[in-house]
Amino acid sequence: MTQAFEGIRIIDFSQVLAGPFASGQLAMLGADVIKVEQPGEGDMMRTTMANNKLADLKLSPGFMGVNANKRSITVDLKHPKANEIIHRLLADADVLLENFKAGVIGRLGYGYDEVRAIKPDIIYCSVSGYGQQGPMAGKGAFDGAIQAVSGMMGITGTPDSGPMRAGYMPADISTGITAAFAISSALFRRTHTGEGQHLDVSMLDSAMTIMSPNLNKFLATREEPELVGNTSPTFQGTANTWPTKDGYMQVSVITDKMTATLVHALGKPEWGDDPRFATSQGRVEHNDEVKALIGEVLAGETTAHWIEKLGSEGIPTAPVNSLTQLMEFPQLEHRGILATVPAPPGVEGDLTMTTAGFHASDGEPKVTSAGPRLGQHTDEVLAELGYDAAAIEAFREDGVI
Amino acid sequence: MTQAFEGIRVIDFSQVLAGPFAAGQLALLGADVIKIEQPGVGDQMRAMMSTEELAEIQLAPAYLGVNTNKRAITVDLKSAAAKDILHRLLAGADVVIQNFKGGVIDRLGYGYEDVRAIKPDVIYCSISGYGQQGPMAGKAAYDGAIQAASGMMSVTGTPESGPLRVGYMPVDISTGITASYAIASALFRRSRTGEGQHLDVAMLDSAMTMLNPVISNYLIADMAPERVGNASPTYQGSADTWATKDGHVQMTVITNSMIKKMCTAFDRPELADDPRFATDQARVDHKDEVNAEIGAILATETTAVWMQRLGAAGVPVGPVHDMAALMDFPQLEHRGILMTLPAPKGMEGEITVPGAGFHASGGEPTGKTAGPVLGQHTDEVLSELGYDANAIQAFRDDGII
Repeated sequence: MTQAFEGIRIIDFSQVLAGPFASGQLAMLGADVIKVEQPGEGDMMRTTMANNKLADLKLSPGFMGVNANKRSITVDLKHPKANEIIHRLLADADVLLENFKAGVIGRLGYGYDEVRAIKPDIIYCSVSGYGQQGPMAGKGAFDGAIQAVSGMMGITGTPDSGPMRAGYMPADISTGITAAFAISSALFRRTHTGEGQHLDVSMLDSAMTIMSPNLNKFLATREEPELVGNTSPTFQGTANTWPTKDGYMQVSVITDKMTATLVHALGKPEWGDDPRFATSQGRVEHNDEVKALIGEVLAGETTAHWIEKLGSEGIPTAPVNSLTQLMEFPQLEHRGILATVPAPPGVEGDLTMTTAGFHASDGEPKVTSAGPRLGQHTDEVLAELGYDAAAIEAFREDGVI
Repeated sequence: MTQAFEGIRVIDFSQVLAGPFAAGQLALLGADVIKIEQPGVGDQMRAMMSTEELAEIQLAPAYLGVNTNKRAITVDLKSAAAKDILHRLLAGADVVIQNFKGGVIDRLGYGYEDVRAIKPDVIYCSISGYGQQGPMAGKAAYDGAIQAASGMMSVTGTPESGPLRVGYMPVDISTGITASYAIASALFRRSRTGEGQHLDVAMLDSAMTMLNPVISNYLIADMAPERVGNASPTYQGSADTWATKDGHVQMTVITNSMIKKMCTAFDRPELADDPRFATDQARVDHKDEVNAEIGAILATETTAVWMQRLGAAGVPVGPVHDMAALMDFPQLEHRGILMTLPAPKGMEGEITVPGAGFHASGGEPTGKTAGPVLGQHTDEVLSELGYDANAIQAFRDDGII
């Protein structure tokens, strides 16, 4: 079945996580993503967070996780002869994606106005830490800095731990999804206006959208949230994480109706009439007591026991899974979230990676090939652009590709 | 300028955060979103995470934050007469969004097949905790449960703290962005194929995409994550959060060239040649020593001094903000992330809410009207559907709207 972005060509100058994640999402829906990398070096992510063997191959797991279905070509953008290759590439491009520091791509000669002169309806997406204007424009920013600046860290952790970051990269990946949404919206807009545009996606903005509920509460009340550890942002004592006999479990009970169900399932029906439990206000004001009372009961049985018992009553609860436990979670078999594909050249066997966060009844997101080796498709793409073998060889000898 | 989704009608049955966020992103780009709510009760989020005052008028800040630019109508979906109203609404719908528990919307008569019979090319987006199939289909899940089940909590915190959730809702909102992306892709696909489809968006999937680099390490290289607190998932000692004289800064220095810049900004250029600092691997192997050395230096000056010096040197560094400091961050003036709108009926003055995570040079995401009060647009929409004042009054008398 036709996928959404079949026939759409994306020239991707971005590296690390946010940009590659964005183009990767479009690639899983059929876009032809051509990843343009510096000869020799390539995307910085190729060697970050890797074991030695995969770093040597420039195929770190973090790289492969967001670069499926793409083609990689190497071009030295600073080389005077690179210009004609990039011109030919851009002449057929629908989307350009870049995450150079602000101003760099303009100096290389591929800023929005230059590219628009080559391809008037280009959708040109710039991804950065802080945006294209303002005092922080052009400042380097990895995920951790944005977790700090956006306030994410300031509301995570306990009074003992102080501000705490998430052990994953919420700013990078949410920026990637935001960029994928921005690009797909712009492509749709192009179908009825014929116009391209410049999209300016920043990690700071994306982090702030992720914090929407907290931010809105702050904006309305001007009260700084406290560090509440595993307490829910609703501050109800019935929503938290508790130790069980053999692990941890999470319960989010935040309505009166669910509280009534919960206290029955815990074998404490008398709590139903207790004012500390009966109303949302009561559960907030007596957070600690409510939490402690529930904790005593949960500690008496295993996680599996409680998940079965509470889950069958419709109570939102979940085991605190390690990644190993997550992979054994029976629900995963029924989702398309993991895909197994042949490993790229140089790595043996198959590899498994995460895909897109949704299923589509038609034109399903699909992984067809693993993240490419550096420059794996240089010859193939240059041949498509009309260069013959001699011309390609000459580029190679001159260090252009 | 024409926005991407002008003329696109979204019928939104969803409530709480993920679904309303998704519809809200489309509304910021011009879609006509009609929010269908139960008479009297409305979206659960209207009274959650709120001050008492705002809960009373069913306009919680977190509700207002994700319902900008929408119209709200009340219809009792269980009433027989609702069928006629819904038929008229769905006949003109491009997109339907729903997050009922598995099977509920089918029993109400508005499942994908039912709606497709009314509008063959509808894009029908189902949002749920665990997806539409499998043993967990239909199980209730708030953000906290999915932070637990997805492994997010297991990789956050320290050995002392145990598994820790983050204080915001990364799962709900990333699911919302994923759904916006899925819908925008499907609209683009429809413009080329003429076909609609069913989109199945699960919070579990979105959480797993957000864990991407961490899960890729686990799946591809058997690298099981530890809980490393504020240390970076790269495990380099030069990426962490440190106390300064008057606060905290976060730095992510993970390449050799950045190490040089950092050491120069520290006025300790010789440190860059220290074998513990010189390579990625060395900074992982000597993590604690590298970390302590940097900490001793950072403790000697204020956050502002380090922001200036390290920032000027091009080192990725950010102050750890609380909410108030974030609002004072000068960069925000240069972004469109915060929108100030006239307050909805029943509230005085203006409200400020986050918008979309990107700027567009054409058809910019724009906030026009604040989240509506319950049923604010019932009469307006029903009269657009061809009901006269008498018919509307009759619906009201019968408790249908």
